[in-house]
Amino acid sequence: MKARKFLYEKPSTIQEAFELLDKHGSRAKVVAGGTDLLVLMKERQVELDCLIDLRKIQSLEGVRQENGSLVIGARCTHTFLSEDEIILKSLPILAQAAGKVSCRAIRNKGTVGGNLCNASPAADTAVALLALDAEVGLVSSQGRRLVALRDFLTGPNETILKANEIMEYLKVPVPGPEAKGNFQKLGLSTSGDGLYVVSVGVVLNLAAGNKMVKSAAIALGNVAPTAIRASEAEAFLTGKTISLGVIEETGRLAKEATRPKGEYPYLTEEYRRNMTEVLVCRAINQWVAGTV
Amino acid sequence: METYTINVTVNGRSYTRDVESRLLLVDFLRDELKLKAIQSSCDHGSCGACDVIVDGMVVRGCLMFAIQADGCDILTLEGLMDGDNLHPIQQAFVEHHGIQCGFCTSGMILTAYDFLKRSPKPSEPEIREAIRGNICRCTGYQGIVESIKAAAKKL
Amino acid sequence: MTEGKLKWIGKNIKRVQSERLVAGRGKFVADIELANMKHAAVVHSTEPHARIVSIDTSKAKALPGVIAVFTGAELALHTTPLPSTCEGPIYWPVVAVDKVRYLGESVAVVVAETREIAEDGCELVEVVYDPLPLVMDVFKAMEPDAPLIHEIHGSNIAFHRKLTFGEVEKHLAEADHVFRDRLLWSRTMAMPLETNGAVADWDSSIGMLTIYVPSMMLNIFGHLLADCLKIPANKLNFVPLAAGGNFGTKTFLARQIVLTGLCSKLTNYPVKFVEDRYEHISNGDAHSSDRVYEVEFAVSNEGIFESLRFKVIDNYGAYLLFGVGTHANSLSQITGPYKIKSCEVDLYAVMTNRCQQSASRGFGSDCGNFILESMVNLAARELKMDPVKIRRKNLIQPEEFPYKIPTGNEYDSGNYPAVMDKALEMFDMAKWRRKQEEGRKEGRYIGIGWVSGNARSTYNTTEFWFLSDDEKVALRTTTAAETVELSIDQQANFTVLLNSPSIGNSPETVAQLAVAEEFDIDPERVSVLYTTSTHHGISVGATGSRQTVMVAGAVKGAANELKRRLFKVAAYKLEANAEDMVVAGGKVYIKGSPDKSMTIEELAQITYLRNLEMPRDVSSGLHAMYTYDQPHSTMPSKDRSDLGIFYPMMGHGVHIPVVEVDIETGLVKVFKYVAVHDHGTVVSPDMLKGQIAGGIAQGIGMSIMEQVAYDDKGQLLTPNLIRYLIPNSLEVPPPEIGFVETPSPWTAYGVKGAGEAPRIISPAAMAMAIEDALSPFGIRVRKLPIFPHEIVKLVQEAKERATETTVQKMGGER
Repeated sequence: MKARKFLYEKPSTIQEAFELLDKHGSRAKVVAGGTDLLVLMKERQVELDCLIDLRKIQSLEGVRQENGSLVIGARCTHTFLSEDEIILKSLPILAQAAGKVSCRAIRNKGTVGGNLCNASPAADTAVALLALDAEVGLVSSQGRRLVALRDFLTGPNETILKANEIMEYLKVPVPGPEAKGNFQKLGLSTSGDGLYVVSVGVVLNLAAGNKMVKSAAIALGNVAPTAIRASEAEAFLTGKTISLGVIEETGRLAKEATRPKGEYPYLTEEYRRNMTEVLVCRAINQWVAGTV
Repeated sequence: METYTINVTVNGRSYTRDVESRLLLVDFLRDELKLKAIQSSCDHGSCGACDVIVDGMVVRGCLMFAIQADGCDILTLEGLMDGDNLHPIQQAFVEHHGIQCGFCTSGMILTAYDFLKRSPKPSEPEIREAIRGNICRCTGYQGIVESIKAAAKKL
Repeated sequence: MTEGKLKWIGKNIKRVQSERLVAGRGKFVADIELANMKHAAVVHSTEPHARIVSIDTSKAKALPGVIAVFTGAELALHTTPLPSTCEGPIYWPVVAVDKVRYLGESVAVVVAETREIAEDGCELVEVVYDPLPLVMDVFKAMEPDAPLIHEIHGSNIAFHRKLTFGEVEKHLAEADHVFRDRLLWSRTMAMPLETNGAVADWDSSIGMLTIYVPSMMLNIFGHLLADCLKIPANKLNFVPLAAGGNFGTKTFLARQIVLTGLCSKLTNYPVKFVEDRYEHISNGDAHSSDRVYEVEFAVSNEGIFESLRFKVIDNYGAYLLFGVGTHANSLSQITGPYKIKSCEVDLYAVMTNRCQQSASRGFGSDCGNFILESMVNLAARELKMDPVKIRRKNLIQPEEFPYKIPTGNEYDSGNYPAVMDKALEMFDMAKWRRKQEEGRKEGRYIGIGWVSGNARSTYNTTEFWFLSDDEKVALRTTTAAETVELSIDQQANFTVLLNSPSIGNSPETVAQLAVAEEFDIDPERVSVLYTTSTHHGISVGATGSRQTVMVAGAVKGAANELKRRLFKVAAYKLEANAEDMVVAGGKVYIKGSPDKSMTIEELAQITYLRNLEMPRDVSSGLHAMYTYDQPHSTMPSKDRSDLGIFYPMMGHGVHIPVVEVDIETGLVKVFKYVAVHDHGTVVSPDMLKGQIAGGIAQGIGMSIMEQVAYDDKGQLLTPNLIRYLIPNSLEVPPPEIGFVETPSPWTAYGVKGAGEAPRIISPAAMAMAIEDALSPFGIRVRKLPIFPHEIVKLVQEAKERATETTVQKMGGER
C-alpha cells in the first residue's frame, strides 16, 4: 500500500502556503499530522499533485486566551490538547476528547485542525468542540473568516473549506465556572478503541445550589453524516430540574436526533441509535454524580 | 524520478539521502538505511509495529513520509543499544518473555521507552494503557507488561 | 511428576531467539534483500464473481521501472493449478484465469524496480469484467440452481459425507433426553502481524530456484510446488525463515511461493512479494472455519452423556487448499474429555464468493469444543445440574487410558479429574458465585465460564484425506516425520540443524533442552540452526501442535546415535564394554566407576582428528541425521467407520474466564482468567505459559470482537485492522496458569504438543462465561463471535418475553 507520486512543498509562512494553494487549486492538499490523509493517499483514494506540509508555519500552533475564549492553533496535536494546562483548566472536555483519540503515537501526530478538516463523522474533538460552540478561523489569500463549527461540517469528509483555504485556529468560548462537560466514547471493544460506535459530549450549566439546568449542549459523534448537536434534547433539558425521568427523556430525544448509516454484522444502525441514548444518559448521570 | 534531498539524524548519526516524496518513513529506515528492526504490518496506523521516535515523540512510521522527517532526530530500536549491549528494556524483554515472534517488539519497546521516560514508576494499569496502541498477537501481553515493569525497576 | 527423572527438560532457560529478535535481527521475509531484487504487486479483482473479458497490460508495461506484467492466462502456460487435498475437480490457479471468484483475487501481477512502481503498474492494468450472479449465502449456494463457483464441479457442494461412529440411532432413540440446538461459528483470521510473503531467486545457469519463505511443510510437499513451477524437486531450494507470527496461516504458502517463483523465473531477477494488510485479508488464503451446526446431544436423567450427532455446513469460500481437513481434525477429539458412546457427523463443505479458508490455530477443533461444551451447558441447565459436576461425572478416568473414542482416534494419557481439582484449587468458585450474586443485586452481570476441553497434538497426515473414499484421494499420505541433524564439534560444542522454521514458538529451546538432557551438558553449549530443503530432512514443521514432540523425539534419536559412537570410542580407549558406558556432566564413563572417564571433548578430538586411535567400525566425525516418525498412528478402515489413530497426544485444559457483561451496551469485559493445562511433561514452563497466554488472547478476540465480514454484494467489510478488531493490552486480563503433568507414554520424555490448545479451548469458555453472566435472562450464546449489539438485542428480547410471561400469569391469576 504505497502512495502515488506527488510534489512536496514545505512553506515557511502562511503566505507561501496561499501561493501554493492558489497555484495548484484543488489538486493540492495541506497536511498537518497526516494521520488521516496518509491512509487515503496510500489507499490511492485521493487525487493530488501537491502536498503542502504546514509543519514550518509557527502561527498555526499554541493556545492563547482572548476575551473569555481560547484561541487554539489548528496544528495543535491531540497530545498537546490533552496535556496543556490552560486547556485542562478551561476546556477539560476538549482535553478529555483529545486524550481518547486512538493511542499516543497517533495523538502525537494527529492535529485538531486535521481532525476537523478531514470531517470524519467520528472525529472525537469535533464532538467536544461542537458541545463547546466552537468557531473555526479559515484563512486564504482572499482573507479571513470565522465560522461556527456546526456550519463548517457539512457531511462525511465534507466541509465548507474552500480549496484555497487553510484552517488557522479554533475559537472556543470558555464556559462559566459552574458549567462542566463530560465526554463519553463507546467502541466495540471494552477499551473503546475498536470500531467506534458513538461518542457524546455534554456541557451543562446548572443554577447554583440546585439541579436546575440553565443551559445544555449535547453533541453526538458517528451517528449522523457529521458530528451533530441534539437540539431537541438540549431544549427539553434546559430549564428542567435533573431527575431520572428528565435524564431518560433527554437520552430518548438525543436518540431521535441520530441518523446513522451502515449495517454491518458487527455493528447495526439500531445499535448505534440505542447506544446514543445510553451514552447521553450515562454522561449526564456521571455529571450529576460528580464522577466526571 | 523526482527526488528530494533530506537530512536526518538517526540514532545519533546524520544522513543525507535523496528520496521520493512518497517514500514512507518506515520504508526509508528499512530500505535506505537498512535498519530492519522496525516493521510494516497493518498499513493503517492500527498496530504499532512501525512505531519510531521522531524528535522525542513516538509516532507511526507508516503514517509519515520520510520527507516529513527532514531535519528530525530519529531513534530506532537499533539506537537503544550500546554497541552490542542491550538496553535495559531490551534485556527485560528477553528475561521476562516479552517476546515470542518478535514482529511487534521494536514498536513495543520504543513505546515502552517513551512511556518510561514520562512515567518512571508506572502501575500495571498504566503500563497496559501505555501499550494499548501496540498489538501483539503472540504473548497475550502479560509477558510484555512484566518486562516493562521489570525495566522500570532497573532504569 | 517427572522431576527427579529428568534433569534439564522442565527448566526455564534463556530463549536464544529472543536475543536476536530484541535486537531487531529477526530476518523476516520482508528483511531479505538480494542484489538486483525486484518487487511484485498483484492486481486485485474489484468484482466478487465475474468473467474476465479482457486484460490490457500495455500501459503498465510501458511505465518506466516496470519489468514485466503477467496475467493469469500467461502464467498458466508456465504452471499448473496449485496443489490441494480436496477431492475435486476444483482447480486453484495462482492468478485467476477466465474468471474471478472473490473480491481481491489476483488477476495479474506486476514486477517492478520498487514496490511503489509495481503498485503504479497495477493501477494501469485495465481489466474488463462481465459480472456473474453472486452467491454469498451458504444455504443459497447449496440450492440446485445456485450460480456455480466452479462450473466444472457441477455443484457448490464441494464435499458431502455422513459418517457414523457407533450406534448413534439407538443411543438417541433410547436416551432420556435429546437436546437440540443450532450453533454458529463465524469466519475469523489468525491475523499474524507479519503478512505472507516470499523472495524467489532463479539461477538460470544451473536451473535452480531458491525461495526464502516462512512456510511449513516444504520438506514434505515441496515437490508438489516443484511440479507447479515445472522444475525438478532437487532444483527447488527452500530457505526457511522465522515467521512474524503464523498461527496456521503460513502452514503451506503454496500460492505465494509459486507466484513469486514464477515471477523470478520469467524475469530472471530475484523477486520479493510481501502482502500488504489488505491483500492478506482479502486474498491471503487465510480465513478460518465458517460453520453452521445443527446438534443433537443425548443425555440420561442422571446427566450421563450418551451420543452426539450433528450436521455441519461449512462456508469454505472459493477454493479448498486443505480440503475438508479441518473437519477431519475435529473428529480426533469430537467427544472431548468425556465418555460419549457414539457420534455422527453429516458434513457439507460449500463454496461461495469469498476468499478461501486455510489453517488457523485450532484447525476446526476449536469449533468442535464450542459445540460440545455448549451442548453440555444446555444439558446442565435443563437437568438443573451444576456445570462442573455434570462434566466431572462424564470424564474419562486416568486408569482408562489409552482411550479409544468412537471415531477411532486414541487418547494417549490424561488425568482430567486432577486438572479439574487443580482448577478448583486456583479458582475459589464459592467466592466468585457469591460475588456474582452480589453483583446482580447491583445490576452487574458477572459470568463464570467453565470448560473442560481437550486439545489434540501431533497428528498424522491421514487427516488430510480420510474423509474421502480411497479411490477419490490423490495424495494418500501417512507420514508426518521430523528430521534433525545433531553434531558435536572438536571443542564439544553441539549444533542442532532444524528443517522447519520457528513461527514465534521455541523449537530452539526444545532442541537445546533435549540435547542437554541426553548429554547432561549446559544448554547454552547447544547452537540451533536451520537448514534448507536441499538438505532433504523430511519435515512437516510447526503445524498441528507437533513441533515440540517431534523435535524432542528427533533430537533424542540423533543423540542416541552419537552416544553409540561416543561410547564405542570411549570403551575402546578405556578398555571396557560400550554397553557399560554412560554420559553425565560432559563426561563419558564406565557405569559405577565415574573415575574411569573421558570428557566429550577428548572423545570429539579423537573422532575428528585421530582416526587411527578409533575402533575400526566407527567412522570419523560426530554427526547424525535422524528422522523421527509420528510415533503412534494407524490406517483408517476402508468404510471409515474407524478413522484410525491420527491425533493421539491429547492435551487437556480447564479454562475459567470471569467476565462482566454490560447489558445496556452489550460490552463484555474479561477481568479474570484461570487456565490449568496438561500437556504431559512440560519442556519449559515459562515458554508454555507464554503460548497459553497468547492463545487465550486470541480466543477472547474470536469470542467477542473478531470477524471477517462480507456483505451480500460480496464486498469485504473488514479490509483492514481498523475494522477487524484484535484484542489490545486493555482487553486481555493477566492469566493465571497452572499445570498438571501426565506424561505421554508414546513420546520422548512424555511431552505433548500445546501450541493450539489455549485457542482451541478458550472460545468455548468465553461463550460459557457470557452465557453464565446472562443466565438471569435465560440467554444462550448460540454464535461466536457474539457482538455487543447482539447481546443487547438478546437481553431486550428476554426482557420482553419475561414481561409477556408476567402479564400472562397475572391474567391467569385473575
